[in-house]
Amino acid sequence: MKVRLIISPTGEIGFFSVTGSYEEGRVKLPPLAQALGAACLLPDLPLGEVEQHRHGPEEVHQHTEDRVHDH
Amino acid sequence: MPCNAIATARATVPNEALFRLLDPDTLARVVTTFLATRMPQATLTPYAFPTALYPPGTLSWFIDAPDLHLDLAITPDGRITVGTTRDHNRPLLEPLKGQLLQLLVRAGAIKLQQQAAAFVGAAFILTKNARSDDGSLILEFEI
Repeated sequence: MKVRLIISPTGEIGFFSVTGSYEEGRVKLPPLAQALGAACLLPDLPLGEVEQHRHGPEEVHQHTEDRVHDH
Repeated sequence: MPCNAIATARATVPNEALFRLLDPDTLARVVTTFLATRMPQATLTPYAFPTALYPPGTLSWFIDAPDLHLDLAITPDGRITVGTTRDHNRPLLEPLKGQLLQLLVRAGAIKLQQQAAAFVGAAFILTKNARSDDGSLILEFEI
């Protein structure tokens, strides 16, 4: 599974799976976040729920920039 | 770059956690560099505040310049206190505190980016390591 990790200069972190299924992302992203938190001295990294990536009710959206906020 | 994400999760690292990533030397360097730019005439004198008021590891200084006297303390958990005994210096306190907070959060986030890049680079095969215009770090890798 391919993952994109974005960390903003204000400490926002976004994890995105870009290959595989949503279920695979749902299973694999939290342990990855936990490992990253442990490696970065952030053992309680407050990761939110893993969600299916959507940009509108039924819409597939194309991004033009890599920004945590835009996701 | 088109977004082809399937699943997503986000975390916002609290400011105090970002502060804890900064070692005292880095933290002091951010403060001295900022003051050298913002108040080039000011002198910075390290000062140990009473430990009853501030936890161990607190960095603190007196900031003096003509017609200016401030005290600044930064605790290890990210509490910034700026004070003065001079009424006419009081309007400086909140803006100074806000600017320092912003700089220290950014310094902590940069440290986080460096640590994350090192972790990912060591554990996975990176296919992308880039930076966006807003300073965000972008890593892509296979897990």
